[in-house]
Formats: sequence, structure tokens, C-alpha cells
Amino acid sequence: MSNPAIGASGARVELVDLSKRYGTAEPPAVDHINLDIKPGEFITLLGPSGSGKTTTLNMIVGFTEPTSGRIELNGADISRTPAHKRNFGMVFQNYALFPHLTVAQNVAFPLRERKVPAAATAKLVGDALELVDLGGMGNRRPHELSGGQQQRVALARAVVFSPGVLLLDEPLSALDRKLRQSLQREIKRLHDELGLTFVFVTHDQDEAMTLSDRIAIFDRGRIVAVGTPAELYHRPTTQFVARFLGESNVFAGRYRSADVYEWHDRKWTVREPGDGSEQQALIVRPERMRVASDEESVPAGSNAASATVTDVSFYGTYYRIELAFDDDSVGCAVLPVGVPAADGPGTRVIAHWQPEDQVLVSQ
Amino acid sequence: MAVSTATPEAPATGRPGPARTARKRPSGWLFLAPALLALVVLFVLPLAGLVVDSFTEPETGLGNYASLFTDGYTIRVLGRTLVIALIVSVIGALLAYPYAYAMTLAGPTMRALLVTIVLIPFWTSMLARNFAWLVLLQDGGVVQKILTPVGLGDVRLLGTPIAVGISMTQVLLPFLVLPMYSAMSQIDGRLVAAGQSLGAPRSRAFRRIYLPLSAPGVVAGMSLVFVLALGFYVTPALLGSTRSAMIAQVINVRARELLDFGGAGAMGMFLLVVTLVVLALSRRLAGQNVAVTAAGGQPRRTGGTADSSAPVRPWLKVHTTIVAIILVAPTLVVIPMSFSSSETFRFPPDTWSLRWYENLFTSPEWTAAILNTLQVGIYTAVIATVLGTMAAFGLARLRPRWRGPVNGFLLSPMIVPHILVALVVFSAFLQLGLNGTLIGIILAHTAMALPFVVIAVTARLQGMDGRLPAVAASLGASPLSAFRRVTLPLVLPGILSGAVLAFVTSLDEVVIALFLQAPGAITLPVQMFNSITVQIDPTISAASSLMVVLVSVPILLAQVVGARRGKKGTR
Repeated sequence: MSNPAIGASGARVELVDLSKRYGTAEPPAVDHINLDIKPGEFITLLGPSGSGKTTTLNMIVGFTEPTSGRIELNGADISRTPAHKRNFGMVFQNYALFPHLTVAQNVAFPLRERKVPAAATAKLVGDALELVDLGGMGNRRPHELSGGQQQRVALARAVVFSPGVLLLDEPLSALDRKLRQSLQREIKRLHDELGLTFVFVTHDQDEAMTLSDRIAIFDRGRIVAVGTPAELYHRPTTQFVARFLGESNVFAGRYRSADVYEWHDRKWTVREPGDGSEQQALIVRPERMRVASDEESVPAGSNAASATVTDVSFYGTYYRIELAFDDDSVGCAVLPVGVPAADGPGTRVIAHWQPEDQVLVSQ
Repeated sequence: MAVSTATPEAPATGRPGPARTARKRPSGWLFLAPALLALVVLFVLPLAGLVVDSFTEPETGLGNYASLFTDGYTIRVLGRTLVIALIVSVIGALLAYPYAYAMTLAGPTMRALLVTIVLIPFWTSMLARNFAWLVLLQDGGVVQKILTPVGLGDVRLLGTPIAVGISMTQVLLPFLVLPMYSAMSQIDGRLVAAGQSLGAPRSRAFRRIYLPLSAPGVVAGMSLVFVLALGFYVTPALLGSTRSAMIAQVINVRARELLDFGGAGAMGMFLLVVTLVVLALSRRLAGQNVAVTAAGGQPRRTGGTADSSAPVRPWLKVHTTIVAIILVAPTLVVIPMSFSSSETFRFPPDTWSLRWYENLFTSPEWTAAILNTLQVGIYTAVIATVLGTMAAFGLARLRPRWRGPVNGFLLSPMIVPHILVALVVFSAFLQLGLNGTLIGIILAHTAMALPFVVIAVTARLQGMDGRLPAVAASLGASPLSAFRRVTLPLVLPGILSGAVLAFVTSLDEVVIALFLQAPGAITLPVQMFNSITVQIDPTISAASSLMVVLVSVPILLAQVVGARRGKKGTR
């Protein structure tokens, strides 16, 4: 490896009992959160808008001062360190390139602040631009580039000084679908190559699922769940998590004694006690649900619910069937081509699934 | 999918990005302090003093205001001033409306030409233009010759309100064309076509759709011109006569010759009140119509869309040509005049020479005037730019509810008639011993030029992505470094154009400089004014040409720099 080079060992960031309250607003924008971000990890802060994820990011980078709690970088408290001394890279939603500087000057900006010698700067800038496939574009002005290219420049600028942590604030939301996907791959590749810790903020669950090592789900200023995408998808802990991450059929029945769950006019088998209370919802992911034309075709041991088909759409590799259950709740089933599907709207069907494919969650 | 359980992330909006920390920022006022202090000292306190004078000098009471209406003379002056201002704004509007309309129909090249023609008067100094009209309207001048075939050749123009009206209309025409054009270019050209498709004949569709939609521009332009016309001093003083005096001339006589600050102050207050009332009315009228425009659909540039429905009629071409000639005529007169060899203001000149240039650059009083003007202009530009730039940064840091009023206060010197500013400054500086000094003129010009800097810098600051300083911080830049490397370079074009505007404002300002003049403190416009009123000195024609150069060079320079920087772009 030549010297100097981009890349560093990722840093560890810990959020300890961190809160931010604007005035006397209730609830606080960020409400006593704890999060241990491991070195080199790709963690996503996911939540609806206004859930506190961007405020959290702004506190990490140093734009917003916490009301209470602290932020630790490799064990040292940096809560009161000004932004320009934290040495974090950040990528913003609308690129935020300096319009009066060329692409190369933009990327060189953090190096000049760090008094890196000219020769090393030139090499690092070249490397950073190569890294994002923009070699040879250094003399362009930001406004001469497409949105995707501008965001690549922003990425190069944020990693060129080898920060231990790269913070990304909804970096893809201003791009169209196709660009978004290609830049997703780019970001993932950067993470693998550079070994930095990535903290990614988004409200897009697909983005979070495909990119992250772990996801922290925000709701009303709190972190309501942390886990790998698969953990959170398959074993959501709350109804909010289940609804926010992927689609769900949510049955609002009652957990009766031992192993019986009551919904509408049915009794279902359950294998887990959940949180033990009666008020638990039962979640079934659409791809786990099957439909049958009558009770006889339902495999033994399955849980079942009668429903009316309201719509059937064909997506090439699968069918999607919209259902209206008998308690007036709605849901859907996603069926691979080849699995028995339903006739058109209006058909009465029995939706069924295996008990191990369901999850009990607290309300 | 997720139930949206949005709680506000920040008090105002959830997504301004990392904008700025929500710390309290008293520093906004700190930046504003010098400009606010300057305006208070140079403007507000003297104005208040004059108001007091108007009620107490020579004796306490409403005597000064009563005599406005009872001495028989003043009421005639006020009436004449109002009538002339009204006629100027109406005739000006009639000339300007079709011209502005033609601008929206013209192709890109033609439009650029028409825009340039409208801006030419701005580049020709006030005095140069009035001097040109004096040449054109004099007995045996070009205008009389044109009128001879219709039997009006021996009608005397110079020294009459007609000459004053003609010159004022021309001088003020750009202020009518520009707001009208700006309103018209917002109108969707297809609307008139839509009206026709709904059964209205072309003329009625125009009257019921286009006219109301362009009305805000008309109201804005006419009220501005009316207000400006009320306070005109130079034009009536040069082209009119004392028998048909306007209000500014009487204020001048009362203040400078009779030292009757009570009487002059009362007239000044009358002028100010009328100005404020007219501007407030126009804002209400135009404001309502702006709402109508917005409701009328997506505002869009009328590029080529109007062409299909509205071909340029021959009468419109003729009208536009005539207005264009009126706009450029004075400039076309001034430059050849300066090369005349004649002792008179004969136009076109019979013989040519450089004698007036020679005189301009060799005679002590003219060279002193040029140097004084440059000195005043540069100091004004520097002081106003520093104060105005700081104020604009301060404004951006203020809480929104303070921003409007403070901004309004900073811009107030723009709407107060120059003659009143001159009167206020004159009466105050008399007591401070600043009269007859260049410092006095510089200070007064600084107050006048401040708004232009504030506007230019504020526009640039608003055009800048507010997150960039924070972005710079995330990349390791200290606040000072972020300012030096990001904010300053991005705002610099605004600061430069503010400086140019301040310089040009000072360069062309006559009325205040006239009031504050003294043997050692005569600026070029004042020298030009005196060269017509005191002695007839054709050197003024060379001076006028010099003024054209002095004004247009900085503007052109600023445009070249602006274009270069424009490539770098704000966004």
C-alpha cells in the first residue's frame, strides 16, 4: 500500500442516555437513547420523519448540542467538542457541494483544513475521485455534474481525510430510483473497502434492509428496536417495528391461556408466550401466508382466517392478493407463481399459515 | 405500512438539515449596530429635529402647516407639483405599457436590445440627461424644429412646466417599464388564447385577462414614479422657472436662502406624508393583484408562448420605436455636444473640437470637482459597503420576527424623497459644522447608498445554501475558516455589486451635494448644475460625457466580474 492512503480503522461511537429537547416540547426530539456503534459497523438509523434520527445524527456530528447524556468516541466524551474538531465525515441529503469550488477543490477542502502537504493532497484527491468512479472529473464545477455524480463527489469529500466514522443523512433521497440503487451498491462497496464505521440515516426501509449490518428503529424520539435486518424482520418485537419494516398482516386478537390465541371467531395455536399479556397482536408476513378455496384444503396444524379477495395483481414472479378479513381488517398475501392463487375480487378464501411463521408482538 | 407518528423534530420544520445550532445569537445585533447607528445619527435624529422645528420655528404651533394652505402661494405650488407628478406618471404609463408588452413578445435578441435601451438612462447621469433636454428643448432647438411643420414652431418650451414634464417623463420612464415588464413576464401567454377560446374577442380577452394580470406592475410603477416626481428638484430648477416652481424648489429657497427651517420642514413633512400614503396604497392595491396573479395559474415566462396568439402589430412597432428613441435621445445628444467648438448649446454642432474636454481637465474648478466627486464616491462606497455588508449578515442572523422591521428601517432612505433628505441633513449639519465639507457629503451619501448594499448582499446570502458553513465545519473548518473559505467567496459578488451601486449612487447624487456645497466642497454634478444656472459654460457637455463613462465603467466591470463568477454559480 502506498502512503498516504484513504481508509482507517473504524471508530467506536457510543450514545449514552442521549437527549435533545427543543424548548419545553413534549416529547423531546430525542429521548434518552442508548446505542453502541461498533468499529467498522454499518448501522442505519431508521424511522418515520420526525422520529429523532436526524437530530441524533446532528448531535453525533456536532451541529446540535445534546440537552443531556453524552457521546463517546473510542471511549472519550466528545459531547462538547465543536463539529470541526470531531473528525467525522458527513454526506448530506442535497449534496451540499461548495458551488464556488471545482470538484477537486471540494474534495481537497478537508485536507487543506488539516494542512496536508500539496503533493499528498493531490494524490489523496485523485484516489478519492477514483474510488467513486469520477477520475478525470476534478476540474468540473459541481453544477456541471448530474445529481448522482454530485453525491459521489460528496462521498469522496467525506472520506478523503480518512475519518473514523462516516455519517450519511438520507444521501439517496434526492435521487431517482435507478440512481438510488446504483449508489446504494457504491456506498456498500465503499464501506467494505474502507473499513470505516458508517452511520446511515433514512426513512426508506428497503435501503436500510439492503445496506445495514444493524438497524436502529426510531419512534417518537426513542430507539424501539436494534438488530440485524433479518432479526428485525423475522422477529419484530413491537407492532410498530413489524409495520415499519416490511409489510405485515396484523391480527388484533387476544392471547388466552397457555397456547391459545383468539381472533374473531377462530382459535389459533401459539408456541410462544410473547410478553404474557392478553393485549398482543399476531403478525404474519405476506410471503408466509397461503390461501385455500375451502377449509378442507387447509393443511392440518395451520392457523387459518377467512377473508374476501379484494384484488389480485400479477408481478411476474409472484402474485399479490389483497384480502379483507372477516373482522374488517385488511391484509395481503404474496404467492410465488406455481402456488395455488385465488380467483378475482369477491372470491371467498381461507388464508392460512404455519404457527412457527407467526410472531406475537406487544401492542 | 408504518403508521406515521410524526412529532416535530425541531420547532419549525423537521428537515432544515443541520442548519445552525439553536443557540441564542445576539451577534446579529452586533453586526447591525454600526449601520443602525449611522442611520439614526445621520437620518432619524435630524428628521426628528426637523419635525420639531416645523412645529416650533419661528413660534410654537401649527402655524407652518396652516400657512401651507393659507398663504396663497404654497398651496398653488403644492397643487402644481401634484398635478405635474400625476401627469408624468399617467403619460409615462401610457408610453411604457405598450413598450413593456412589446418586450414580452420580442425574440431573445430584440428583447435584449429593448432591455438595454431601457437601462441606458440609468447609465447617463441625471444632470447629463437634464442638460440634454435643455439643449433639445431650447428656443430654436431640435424639438421646436420638429414641431414647426405642425405650426407649433414658435411655442416656447424651455422655462415652462411642459419642458419639466417632458424631461421628467423621460427620466422616470425606466421605473415604469421595468415593473410592468416584470409583471407581464409572469403572465402565462396562453391565458388570452384561453379567453378567446371561451368566446371573448381578442380585444376583450386582452382587457379582461391580460390587463388585470399586469395591473400590479402598472400600479407599482406609477406610484413609484408619482412619488419620485413629487420630490424632483434638478429638472424643474434647470428646465422650469421660478414662476412655475415645484415643491422642492420652494423647500430649497426656504431652507438655504431664508433659513426658514420651520416652513421648509412643514413642506418636507407634507411631501413625506403624501409619499408614504401613496406607497402604502399602492402596496395594498398591487399586493391584492399579486394574489390574483398567483391564483391565475403557474406563473411562467412568456418566451414564445405569446407569439402564436399575439403577433406584433404595426402600431406597436411604431410606438416601441418612438419610446426607444425618447429613451436614448439624451445620451445621443450629450456625446456629440461635447465635441462641439461652439460657445452656445447649439445642436447639432456646426464645428468640432476638443476644447471643452481641455477645459474640463485643466480649469481648476472642474478638476477640483472631478477629484471631489471621485473622493466622495470612493469613501461612500467603502463605508456603505462595510456597514451594509455587516448589516446584511446581521439581518440573516436575526430572529425572523425582527428581520422584517429592521430590514424596512435599513431600506427607508430609498423611499424618502431626496429633497427631504437634503433638507434634513442640511439643517443638522449646519449645527454640527459639517456643511461645506466633503465629510458631510460623504456621510449623507453613505446613508443614501446603504440600502443598495444591504439589498445586494442579502440577495446573495439568501441565494446561498445555508447549510454550507455547517458542511465546512463537518470537514474540519473552524467558524473563521468556514467564513473565509465558503461564505465570503459565495457572497463576494453581492458585496462588489453593492459597492458599485453605492459608488454610482454617490457619483450621480445632486440634491444633497447642492445643499451641502461650499467653495471647497463642490462635486462634479454640482459644478455641472452651477455651470448651467450660474454661468453658461459648455464644459458641462464634456463633463456629461465623462459622467457617462464614470458610471458605465464600474457597472460594466461589475457585470464582467459577475459573469465570470456567475459561471462558478451559486447552485
